Parts: sequence; C-alpha cells; structure tokens
Amino acid sequence: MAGPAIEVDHVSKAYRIYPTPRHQALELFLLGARCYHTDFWALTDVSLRVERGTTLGLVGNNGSGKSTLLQVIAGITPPTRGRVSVDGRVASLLELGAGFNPEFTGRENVEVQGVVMGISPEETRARLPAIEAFAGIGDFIDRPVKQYSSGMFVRLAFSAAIHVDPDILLVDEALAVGDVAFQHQCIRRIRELQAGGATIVFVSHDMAMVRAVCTEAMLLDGGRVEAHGDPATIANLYHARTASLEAAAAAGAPPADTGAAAAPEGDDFEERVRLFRHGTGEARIRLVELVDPDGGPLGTVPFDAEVVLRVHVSYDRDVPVSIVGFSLRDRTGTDVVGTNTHEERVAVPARRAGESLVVEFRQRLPLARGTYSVTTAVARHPEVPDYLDWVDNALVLTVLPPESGKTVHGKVSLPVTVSVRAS
Amino acid sequence: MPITPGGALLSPFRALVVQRRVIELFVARDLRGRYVNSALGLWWAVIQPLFLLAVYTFVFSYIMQVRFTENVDTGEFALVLFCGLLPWLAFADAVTRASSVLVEQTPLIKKVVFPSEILPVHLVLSALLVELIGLAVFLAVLVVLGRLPGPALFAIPVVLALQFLFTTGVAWVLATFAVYLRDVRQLVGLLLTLWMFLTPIVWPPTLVPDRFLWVLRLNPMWYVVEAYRSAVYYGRIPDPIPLAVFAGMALTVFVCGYWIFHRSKQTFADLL
Repeated sequence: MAGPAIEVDHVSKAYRIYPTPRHQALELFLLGARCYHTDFWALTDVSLRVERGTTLGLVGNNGSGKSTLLQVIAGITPPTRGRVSVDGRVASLLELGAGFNPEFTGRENVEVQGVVMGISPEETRARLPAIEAFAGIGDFIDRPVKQYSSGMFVRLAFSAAIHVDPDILLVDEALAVGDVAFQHQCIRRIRELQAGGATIVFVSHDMAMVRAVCTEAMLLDGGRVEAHGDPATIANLYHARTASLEAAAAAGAPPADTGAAAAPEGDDFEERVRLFRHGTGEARIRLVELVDPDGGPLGTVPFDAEVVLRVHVSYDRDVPVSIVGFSLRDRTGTDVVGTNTHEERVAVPARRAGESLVVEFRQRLPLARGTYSVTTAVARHPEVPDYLDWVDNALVLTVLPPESGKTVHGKVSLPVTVSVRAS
Repeated sequence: MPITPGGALLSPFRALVVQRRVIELFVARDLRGRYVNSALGLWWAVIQPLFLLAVYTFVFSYIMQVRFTENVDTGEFALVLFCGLLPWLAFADAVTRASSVLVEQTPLIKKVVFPSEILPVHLVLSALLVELIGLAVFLAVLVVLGRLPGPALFAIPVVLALQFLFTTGVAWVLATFAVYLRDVRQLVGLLLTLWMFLTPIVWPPTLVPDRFLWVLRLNPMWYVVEAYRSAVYYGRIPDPIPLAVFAGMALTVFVCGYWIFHRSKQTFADLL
C-alpha cells in the first residue's frame, strides 16, 4: 500500500445562502440570469495529508469548518474548489443512528445500518453478537428503538457504526456521548482499530481525548487551517484561544445562567423523564428534588453550598433489598460526583408492593460553575447492573461561580493548604 | 459514468443491480413499515382493496346504477373501474412519496455516504408489491364471481415491468425537483388529481371524440390502464402496438429520470 490514506488538496467549500426559499426558486427558473444568493465559505484553501495509521484530531470552535471538512472527506458533499482523494473503505460516523427507524427493533436497525455502510446483511448478522455485547442494552435489542432511552440509542448506534472494521473512520463529536464507562469502552475500541492500522479522523472539543488518542491534530478557524502539529501543542493553542474568547465574553455580558430554576416547575416528572428511563419497573422514581438543608426550594446552587438531593421512590413489587443512588454529570456527560446507599453503608428497608420511601443525600457541591444533570437509580445489587429503575436527566441544576471570585480549575475544588517559604 | 450512448442507457440498470441488496432491504423495511405495529398487519393490504371494491360496487352499481359502456353490465362497473384503479393507485402512491423521500431521509444524505438513487426506487417497488396483493385479491373476487381469468394474465408481468421503469423514472425526476423546490410536494398532489381524471379510469375511453384521441395517446398511464382492463377484465391479450409505444415511453422516462437524478445528486447534501 503506497500513498496517503486521505489527501485534501487546496479544498474550498462554499454554501449558497438565499434570503428566502422563494429567491432560490426564482434563481432556478431564471436559469442564473439573476443572482440572489450570497456565498458562505465554510472552508478556504484547506490542504491536508493523512498517512495510513494516523489518528488526526480536528479541533476548533463551532463554525470553524470541522464538520464540513469531514463531509468533504467522506464524499457526502463535493468541494467547490480543489480535490480530495481517499483510499480505502470509509465509515463515517457523522451522526449517530442516521437512518434509524424508531418503529423497528434495534437488531433490524443495525442490519439496515450495516447495509447502508456497505456491509452485506450476512456479514452484519455475523457481527451482531459483538455489537450487542458492546452496546450492552440487553433484551432491548429486540424492542422498537422508540422505546429506548437516549443513552441506549446512542450506545447501540455507536457500537453498530464502530464494528464495520473500516480502513478510514471519520467521527464527528460522537464520542462525547454516553456515560463514562461507555466512553472508556469506545476509546478501547478506537485503540483496537488503531492497532489494526486504521486511519481515523475525528472532531472533538475534548482536548484530554485529543491528547490521549490522536497522533496529530489540526486547528481550524473560520474555515482555514490555523495550525497542524502534535496533539499537545494544538490542544494548548486551542485552550489559549477559547480562554481569551471566554474572557472577552465574560467582560461584555453578565453570566446568563443565574436565576434558572433547579427543577422545571409544574413540569410533570413522569412525562418529562419518559425517554430517559429504563429498568424492570419493580420500583419507580417518582420525583427528584433539590432543596436547601432547611427544606426550602433551591433555584441555582451557590458554589460549595450544602444541598439535599431528595429521591422519592415507590415500589410496585415486594423488594427485600434495594440500593438507591445518584450521579451528577457535567455538560459533556462525565460523572463528577455520585454515590449510593450501599457505598455509604445505609440500609434501605425492605418494601412491599405499594409502599414507598424517600432517600436524602446531603452534601456540599464545590463544583465548577455550569449546569449539571442528575441521574438517579434504584438497583438490587451493587455489582450487578440490574436496575429496578434508572432515570437520566432527572434534574438539571446550575452551580454559580464562587463569590470570592476564585476560579475553579478542573471540575471540583477540593480544600487545599498552600504554604510558601524561601528555600 | 461512461458518456457513450450505450453506457448512458445501461447505467441506470447497472446502478439497480449493484445496489440490489440495499434495495431489497429497503423494500422489506418499507413494506413492514406500512403495517408494523398495527393489529391486523399485512392483512390491511388485503382488506383495503376488498373494502374499496365493496364501496365502489355499492355506490356505482346500486345507488347510481351506471354502466361503464353499453356492453358492460351495471353490476360490473366497479370491476372495470378497479382494473384501472389498481395500477393508478400504485403509481400515485409511489410518485407522491418519492417527492418527499429525500427531504424525509435527510440524515441518510447529509450524514452517510448513501446511494440516494435507491430511495425513490424502493418506494416504487413497495407500491407495486402492494398493488400485486391487491391484484391477487381482485382476481380472487373475479373467480368467486365466476369469471375465470385466462392466459391473457401472462401479459401482466410485462406490464408491471414497464410500469416499474416508467414510475421509477418519474419518481427520480420528482425527487430531484423537490430538493430544489419544496413546493413540488404540494404540486404533485394537485397534478395527480388532474392526471387521474384525464386518464380513462372512472370513464370509458370511448367517450373521447376522435379528434382528441392524440391526447390519450400522449398519456402513458392510458396504456397501462388499457392493458390491465384487457388482460384482467376482458381476458384478451393486450394489443402489442400500444404496449410497444408504452415500452418506449417508459424506457425513455427511466433513462432520462436517472440522468437528471444522477447529475444533481452531488448537490443534495448542500441543499437539504
């Protein structure tokens, strides 16, 4: 095998922007006699050579042209100028579950997706056990996809897409989904593909991931290549840029996320979390609330404030032993804090069908400012993932920045003692 | 794509052969999708034509008591009507859905490298298969009524194949136009209504005065309806000359439709 896996040669891509659909129709009928569109250049003179076995991370702010570049490489949209050549079987993961039909079972959708990606139904069927094991959604594989929680959907779509053994894999921010365990699983699978000699191009906002997985990286800005080099250098460059952008934004406008309610008021909990829940149904989480230590309702959470997370559970069957837990996730889906009654050595009393209970977790939240979602679950056993009920996005809360003006580096601020002495 | 005339003529057929597995899967998926999660499932494909037939018989034969032509009995109006209605409904169904299929399947076009030309094709095949079920039901009804279909029925597969070519060609063109101009979807509904009444489905072709016969001859669906009536109702082998004319039309529309679709498909991802 000679030559690079991907070669992008002075590629530019323009999209035509019309003021209204009517103008587009007019231009079409006048056969270009009058011109109503303006060109939007999503990519300008991009050149790139990706050798076989390289993992390239594409980074840049929204609108910098990363996704367009992936689409051009994938052959989904032609470049306006320049030339692209790609050598090998390409799997593009630009959107998870593209073409999934919600009425069909997971198994049927996986089969269709295989054929869409150029794999025969027989081959896909042979891979199904591996795909099922990777997705880890159990019997749901034979249920219509519309019954899936968003997490399950993503897991299945991702594992179906990543089991096609491509020569070239194009991934667009798809890795930033799923829980931590699943993300680790994905990284493992990417390492397997790397070991097998695959060429990977992926778009990510997660610099830790870029540093960990990529062999090289490229920074795009406004459709142009800003820098191309080793991942650590590019990640630092990107960080420096976003930091200065954020500083500019912070100086100009007050933080927008103050005053947001902790729980959407008047919102029917059951209805709201319908799509985010799975489990056997033997127990049901009825409501999740966030209150202050006096029991008063809480809007936003001040930095490091003590809060009480109250989980109301009702039991539809006799359940002698159960464990109730929660986990707080940040915007990217990373678990930041979480615990359960088993870890904390608190026994949940046996419940009969029709009975209910309330579990309160009281703790301080010394977290970086931002929004966090609460996942709560009722399980039978600490090690077996056999959930009576599991609700993602049970609650979304906003943590304010520290009043002292201190910046939280990372996600959590732990107590620290600093001493300085001359030496 | 080869530019030689022979290559251009063959390339749509080649595309269908290359993508036959995807087409198969999409047709199966669509057929299932029509009836999935309904209690009666595929039986709906049987119930619908039976019901239509019963309603038409009741309205036209018992209430209005119309004759199709002088030599067709009042009681059989619905039967003659149905011969024309079966292929027309398949055509209308496929063409209507084709004019929105690319917009509906946007993720497949924008996010995956997908042979988009099969999207209109699978709708046509799906509609023709549903028509076949309807035809089987209709034949069963004819047998019950004591009208045994004759060997002329062997002409139907030929007509079906030509129908496929013609409908697919139209579907490709409309699918392409609808990407550039979303209004095509609405327009297709209106034009189909007009087209249906310009085709002798509910009225006999004998109503057309001689000096307007050329209008009928320009209408590809007239040939289809006539062939069905002849083979299914009258039990006569359809006239080969009109059939050959229709074959020429169907092939032309098929090849041109593919050419239009193929030339435009590169821009679909940007326009959707």
